[in-house]
Amino acid sequence: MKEMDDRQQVQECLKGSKNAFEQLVEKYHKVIFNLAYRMAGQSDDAEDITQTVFIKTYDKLESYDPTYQFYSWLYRIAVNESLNFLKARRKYKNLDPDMFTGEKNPEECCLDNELGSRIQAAIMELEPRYRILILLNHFRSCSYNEIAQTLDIPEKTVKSRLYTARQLLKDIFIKKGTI
Amino acid sequence: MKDHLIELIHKEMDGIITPSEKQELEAELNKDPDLRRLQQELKQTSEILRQVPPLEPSPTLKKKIINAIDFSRYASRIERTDWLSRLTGWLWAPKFRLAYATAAGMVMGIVLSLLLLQSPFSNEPIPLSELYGTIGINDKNYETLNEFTINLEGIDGLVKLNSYRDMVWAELKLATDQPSEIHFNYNEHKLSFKAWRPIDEGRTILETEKNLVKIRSEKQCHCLVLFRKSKNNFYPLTLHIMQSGKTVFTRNFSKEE
Repeated sequence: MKEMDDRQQVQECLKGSKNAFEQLVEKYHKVIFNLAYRMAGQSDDAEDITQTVFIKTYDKLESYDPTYQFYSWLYRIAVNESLNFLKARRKYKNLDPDMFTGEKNPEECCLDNELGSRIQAAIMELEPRYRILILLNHFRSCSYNEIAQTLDIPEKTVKSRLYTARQLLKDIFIKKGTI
Repeated sequence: MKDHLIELIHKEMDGIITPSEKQELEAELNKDPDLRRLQQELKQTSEILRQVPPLEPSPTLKKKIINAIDFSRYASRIERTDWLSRLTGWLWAPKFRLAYATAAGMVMGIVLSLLLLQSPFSNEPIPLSELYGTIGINDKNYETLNEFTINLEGIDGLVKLNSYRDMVWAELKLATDQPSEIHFNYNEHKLSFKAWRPIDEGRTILETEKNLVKIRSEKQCHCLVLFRKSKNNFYPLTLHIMQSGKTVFTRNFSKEE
């Protein structure tokens, strides 16, 4: 029923209803923001990514295939956008290392809590290709197959990368004394 | 440590381990303390991740997103939905599709027939060139409406009145012992003069006046005088042969088809 509602909302958007898209933004912007934050590590960047994700989603709305879940489609756009953002940031970081000091703004500090910040710091130590697997598996509870579809990689690769990601994260937690 | 056993630990965490694999893993865990420690650390890692609370974005994020989107992309469709589709929506109902296909086929058929064949609807006058050919080869596409001979002192001749579709023409073949003037008088409301075709060139001269075609001939005259007839099939046409200013022969060969 929930997905039917999303599909109907999309149809309404395509008929020109602004309100229908506002409802989709209302429903999913927090989920997308969380993904973006876990990937980018900074709330400003996460908000920019979230905004871009919804702009692109709106632009591509005509290409949405209603036989798939809207949420999966949206999440896939968000994953790609986050990975693109990290690639671009890596380029800029090489040009100007001072641009990304990892300092948090006051708003971000409010979001933080002790455990949360330590976990986020550990996640940020993972390479993006491992980080995204931790997010999809542990935060979104996606199956191997769902992850494979989202990232457009074979299920076998999903398994091996996920196992590696868990072990790397475990090592980081041990190193930081989290476990 | 065997990769196979590490994989079993992950499969157990993901809840996709089979009973036989679980049995195998437990047997190995009982034997290998390092494997047992790895299992515990991975489970703790997973447990820690589960404890992470979701983050709240700034309260203005939704507004920022909405403001950044250009809603004009699909907005024009509202108007269509509101009045145009209501007005014309029934036209696109599936039940009309067969009718549209049939109509389209008929239109294509008409266009093709207009292009490939002479139009069945047209009432275009036939080209004179076609008529000349018809007459020239003396075939019987035309109908002879009237025919008579002239046998007078000093004048021998044959006159035919032929008709083909909307054309009517007189074929005149005369031999005279002196120069002659041949007049065709006609009613302009019934006929219109279209062409003159001398067959013995150089021996005849044409003049036209209102309701009158004049042909001056030396001693021999063989020519065609063509008229286009009106829809009314009655067309008064009178032949006069003049010599030395006097009418020597008159014949009205009006005919109703």
